[in-house]
Amino acid sequence: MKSRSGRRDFLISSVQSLGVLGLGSGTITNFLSAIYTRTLNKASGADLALNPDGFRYIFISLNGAPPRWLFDFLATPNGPTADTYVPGGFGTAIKVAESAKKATDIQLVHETYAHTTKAGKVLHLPPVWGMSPTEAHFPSLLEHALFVRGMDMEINSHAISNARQVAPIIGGASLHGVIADQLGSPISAVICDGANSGTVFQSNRGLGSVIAPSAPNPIEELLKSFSSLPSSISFRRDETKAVVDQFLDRMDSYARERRISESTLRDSQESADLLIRMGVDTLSQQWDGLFNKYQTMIHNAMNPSKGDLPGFFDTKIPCITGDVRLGYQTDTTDGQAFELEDLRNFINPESHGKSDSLARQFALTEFLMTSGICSVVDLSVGQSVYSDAHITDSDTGSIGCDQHGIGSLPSTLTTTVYYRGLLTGMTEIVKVLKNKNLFSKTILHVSGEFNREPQKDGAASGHGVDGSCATLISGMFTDTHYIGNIVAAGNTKPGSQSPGTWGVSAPWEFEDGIQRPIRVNDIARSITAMTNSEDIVANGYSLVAPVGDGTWIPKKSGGTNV
Amino acid sequence: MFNLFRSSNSSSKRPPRSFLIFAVVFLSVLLPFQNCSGPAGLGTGKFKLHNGPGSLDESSIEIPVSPHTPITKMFKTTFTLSLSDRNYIAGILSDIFGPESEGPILEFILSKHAFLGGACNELDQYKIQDPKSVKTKLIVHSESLNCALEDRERALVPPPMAVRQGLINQVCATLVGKEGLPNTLAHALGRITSGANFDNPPPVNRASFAQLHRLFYRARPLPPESVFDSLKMFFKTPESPTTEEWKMAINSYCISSQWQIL
Repeated sequence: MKSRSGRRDFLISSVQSLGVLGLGSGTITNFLSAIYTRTLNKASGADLALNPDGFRYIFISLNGAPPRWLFDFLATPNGPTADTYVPGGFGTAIKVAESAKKATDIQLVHETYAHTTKAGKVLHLPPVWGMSPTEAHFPSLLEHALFVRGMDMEINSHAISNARQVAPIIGGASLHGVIADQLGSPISAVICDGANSGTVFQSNRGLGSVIAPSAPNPIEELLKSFSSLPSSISFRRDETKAVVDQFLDRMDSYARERRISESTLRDSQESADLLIRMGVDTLSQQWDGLFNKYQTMIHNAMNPSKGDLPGFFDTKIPCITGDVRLGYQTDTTDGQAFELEDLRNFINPESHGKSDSLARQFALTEFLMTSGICSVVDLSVGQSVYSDAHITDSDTGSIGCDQHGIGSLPSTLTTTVYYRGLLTGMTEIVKVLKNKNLFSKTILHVSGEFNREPQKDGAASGHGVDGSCATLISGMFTDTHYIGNIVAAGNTKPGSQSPGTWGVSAPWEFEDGIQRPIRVNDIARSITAMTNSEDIVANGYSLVAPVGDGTWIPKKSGGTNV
Repeated sequence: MFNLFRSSNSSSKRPPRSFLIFAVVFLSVLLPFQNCSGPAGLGTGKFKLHNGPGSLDESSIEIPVSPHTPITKMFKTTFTLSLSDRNYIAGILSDIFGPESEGPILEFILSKHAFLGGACNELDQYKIQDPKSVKTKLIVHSESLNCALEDRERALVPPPMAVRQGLINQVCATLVGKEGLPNTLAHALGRITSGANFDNPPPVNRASFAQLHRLFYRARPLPPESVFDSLKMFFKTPESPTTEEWKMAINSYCISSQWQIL
């Protein structure tokens, strides 16, 4: 922690200078105690705000690779027209003919949400952006968004590609690592267990990340390490702190001379001592309120009632027997299908698994970001889009993100509802950070290992490695931007089962004339540029440039459906 | 190749011109790639370590790119300290603070697999005694039960972090300073000087300090005198040290992080 080291150095130099003056140790410790007490801030629930001017980085990992045309892939940013959109057996909305009796009476169509940017341009986004629940206003995120489409993820592997979103060079430094390096927060980074992006945290300074505890109150578990020590213990009194610090510094020098030390150990010691003295363990009482807030909001967003969400959830969707687009196939099921009277009946208000998982992570993130105890978090929000959904009248099951056997009809409904829950959490956390003047240097980086490649019969979707996307939501953007070129016709290889505008990447022209699809290296370069962090890749181009007032814009805006 | 050595005039002792040309070309190609120094401009590679905070993480080397333009490049070498896991820490503390340290060690060290790492041992779950039980009953310790079931491989050898250090601070303060555990401190005092205890603390001398150092820094050399000098500052009157002052000294050694480095 840079400020603490500065304070510690001041104390050390004070000891030395007073020693020259011949003052006794008692006088020195009393003097230092007075200084220390004045400069130490006692933590309380509301006013702990470490790192108020530093960057904050939240990586939201869509692990499992859910379809992105329902969330942040702009298939037709300028409006659906025949020459820019090619249907491919999937869509963003479901249209049901009156008295639908056969599969052809139910169509997957491409619909959009029209958003007007501050610059006056109308951008067409997936419909979920227009489905704000009462408690959240999704377009507030759009004011600070950069949608990057047409990304070639290069490697067809869930684990490797998910990890490469934050660490493009396998085994190298990671985005969360280098950002943590320069922040010096007491806790370098918190990783919410589950996604591979968390396992590749790598700092150039040898910092470590903490796995978010799975305890009922993760804040309490995390801060237990910093419980206040009894003041009756004499060596914990402030007047002895300088003496202890001096001893620790000399041990540090000894260890360094013997090549058995590195400065991060001393930083850990200082951070731990600071947090103990600040009494941060009392902050754990915030957990219940935070969790309940997100749990309520996200659960409501993920469980709309029939008639809600006009144009999306207000019409009965009969499950026609034999419609391959109703497939439900997972690792443990084989050849099952949704067999409900109304596909909207998949909603199970008793199901809390997915909404609770999102709520826990967003609640913990809000606490860490607002307190400043940690300014780098990796959220694992994938794996499934809905847990315990009704599949038949008697069966329930989870809908995974890796929808190899999930038909396009349930995929569209359930995944949109999932993104609605995700956006609710994101909107709330951005709102809180804005209220506390902490959003101007915050980046929410949303990405997954790849998009999906939908089959034209709508029965399933494979890995869409060739055409994915990433989204940055940041206070450093002041409008809605999108960049990236895609192939409108989709996968045009002979015999391809995946035509359609699902996002196959097309070459993008970079500043030196290089033409190739956008890759994770470019995203990494952009984020390290925005956060003033060390580069983690030697190649790749930053896609954004500073305006000069702390805000950033894309170097080149827009994109073409070729 | 043989043609080079075949001379048109077999009786001549002078090597043929073609052989001379070949030799010159061969040597001019071979020599630049030898590891030899000299005024030809091939610099020696030298390795120097940057001194200062965060040392050992930068090194420089001169690269003989061409005979007259050596380039010094800074290579960033990154490394993460390997710290001892919870089992090692528990062993050290148990040895120093005695059998009554088991409770705090379990609470702050052994049960914190996520922060302190170490392999899972399914037998751990059968080692815990329920203190509230009338009869001695073994209870299942949930942390041990779940240890191997969860994806914890990344926590096997955890790096330095404040949460880890916080736990060390907690267990040290508890073992040294908690009124309810006088025997843990007494045990530690006895390990410093034979016969020393709560009422009869060890003398303040180099031998005591050295023994205190060896308790934590196993198989490490003794530190320079400056460390022991700073330790002396805990004692107002070194000739008659108090147990309270020894608490400070032992606690300071306990929370100094480097003894955990492998």
